[in-house]
Amino acid sequence: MDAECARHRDRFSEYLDGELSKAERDAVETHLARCAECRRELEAWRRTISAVGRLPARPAPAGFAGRVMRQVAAAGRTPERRVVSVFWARVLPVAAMLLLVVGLTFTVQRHVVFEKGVPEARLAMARGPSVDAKLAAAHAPVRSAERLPVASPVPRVAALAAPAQGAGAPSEGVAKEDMVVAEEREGAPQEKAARVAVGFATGVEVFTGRKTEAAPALSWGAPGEGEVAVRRDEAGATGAHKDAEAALVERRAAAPSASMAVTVANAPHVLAPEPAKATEAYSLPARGPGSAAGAEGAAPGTLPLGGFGYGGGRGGKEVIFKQLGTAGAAGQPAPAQQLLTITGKDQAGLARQVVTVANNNGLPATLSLSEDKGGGAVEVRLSVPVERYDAVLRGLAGLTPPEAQNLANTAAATTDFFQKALSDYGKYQNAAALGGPPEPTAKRAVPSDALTDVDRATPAGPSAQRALSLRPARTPPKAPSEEVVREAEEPAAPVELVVRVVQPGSAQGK
Amino acid sequence: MREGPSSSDVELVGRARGGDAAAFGLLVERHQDHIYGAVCHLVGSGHDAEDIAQEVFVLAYANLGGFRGKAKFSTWLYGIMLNAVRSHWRRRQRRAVVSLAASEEEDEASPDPPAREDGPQEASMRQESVQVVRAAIAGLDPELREIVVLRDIQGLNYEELAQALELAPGTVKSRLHRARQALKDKLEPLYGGSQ
Repeated sequence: MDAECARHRDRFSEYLDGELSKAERDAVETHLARCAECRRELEAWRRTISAVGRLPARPAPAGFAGRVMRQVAAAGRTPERRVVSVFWARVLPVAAMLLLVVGLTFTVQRHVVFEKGVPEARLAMARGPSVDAKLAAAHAPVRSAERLPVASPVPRVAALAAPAQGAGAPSEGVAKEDMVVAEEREGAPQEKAARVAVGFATGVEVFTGRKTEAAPALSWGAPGEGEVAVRRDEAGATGAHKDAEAALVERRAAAPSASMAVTVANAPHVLAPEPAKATEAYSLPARGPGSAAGAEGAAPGTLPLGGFGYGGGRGGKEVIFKQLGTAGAAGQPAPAQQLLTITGKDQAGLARQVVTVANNNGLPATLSLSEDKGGGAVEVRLSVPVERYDAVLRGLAGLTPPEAQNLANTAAATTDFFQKALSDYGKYQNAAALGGPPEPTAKRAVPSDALTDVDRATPAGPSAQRALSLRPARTPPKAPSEEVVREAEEPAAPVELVVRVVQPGSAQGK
Repeated sequence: MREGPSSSDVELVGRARGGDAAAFGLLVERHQDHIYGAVCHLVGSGHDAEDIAQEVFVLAYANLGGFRGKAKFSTWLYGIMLNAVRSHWRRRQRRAVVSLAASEEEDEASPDPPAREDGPQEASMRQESVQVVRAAIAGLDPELREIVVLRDIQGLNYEELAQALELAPGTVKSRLHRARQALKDKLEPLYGGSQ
């Protein structure tokens, strides 16, 4: 075989596939016409290709497609979830934060930091016996319970650890032990401890370097069964709020079996653990055996990941307020409980807008995620003082076409939660663990002017006193004033407004 | 390629993206034989082949958003299949290194069990034994095995080969030439000149 033969044989593969140009093909055929050895070689190529091509087909085994579809269903994903380029471009930064949050969840062992009198503390204790004072030891001096002043309005910060898994019946002894830990935390530099705690939970400190001047409080429930509650006493810390919310929503989206809530509150609410706030813990019933940190283990049949809509930016045009019934007419007393359902693809974005409306009105908002038949809902719970009611509704209306706003009085869908919260709150107040006299009850109303005062940090009036009491280093503890008690006796019932954000077609919106 | 019009595939993909699982089921039924057959030729038949083929479709469903329609859906599927098969090979390689299990290597080298479902088509192969040809393919380097299976068994054209294998057109030509040359060198001594 000479060089010319070799050159033409290098074209045999393409020649047999008809991939050569006419000139190339002519050249090969001209050579073949005068080279018998190359003709034999070409025949060998033909035989080889033919032999391979005649191999019998291997059809898929019976039932193959069915098995595939079962796997697809078990995976519980929707294809939209994996629109990779757009998705990752938008979510990667949040996902990074999320990963840190989840990792820190394990690290922190689900610390719960709370203020005195907040019933969530009791719930946290009910989750189990473990006590983890790592946070306290690391970031705050510990004082003995005996030395604690009692009945102080200074908020105490407690570091509790929920058990890794499983919510057992509360043990009184265990609860007491935890309570002691709670007391030991009193008087500690709560600002620092709480700031660290918020950093742990939300990555706010890590990611933004934000300085929190006042003491935020945070509770970090056992993922899968509980909640993430982040409360800020500083109205200006909306960036932190958003970070926390983003962490929540994104984490929820990655963990359909988990349910969590982020609570963003201003100072009066932090200081006056009102029944409405107590509902936070109850409004998030366990959703089954969610895995730790909720990162894995979505059970078949749970909410598809796509249900939380990664199509951020699209939802605005498609937002539909779903009319649920009649609403209180203008000028009439607002009903005590209302449900507003917003339908939109960008649930997370809409929920954040709702929270923003609440924050703009100086109101706390509880963001929770739930799942039910037919899809998931992001619920934003607002406790709206009557003075703020119109402003809040105007703000919410701005999210949608004005003609599409309607509220429905709910048949107290959450009444049970409220009642249970009230009951537990009362029990908590009577608990001897803290050893103090009961605090004023039913501090539900926070007048709007008080909120304004707090926002401005103006030390005037009972609300301002509460705000200042968040800063124990600067303000000595005071006993509850008569004003506070009087206010508690004359509550101006706020409107418990639940804004439910659902995906189009979700059963929850129907 | 034994498949319907690619436009129908695109339509089904669109429906599946919108959550229509039945549409994806149709796609599975339409392409399952191609994918399963190719996997069998690459890794041998048996449980591994079915597992891999199933994995291909599950991955495809999860990544439907990544199907841009620039290539045929079948070509896109073959790309996913190649990744799954390569992962399988890597796993096998690690296992082989750890266990030095000769039986596994034999299995790899002889991807098909003895023909237990020979039919008329099998009988029609006279000189070339099905087993010999399969063994010859199995004995190729993986990258040569891939291209010869996709071209000479699955029938992809050069453009589709370039898309599925993510190769430049020139590389497709040269690699296919090398694969066929290697196959010819293996098979020709066995039955060459007898036809």
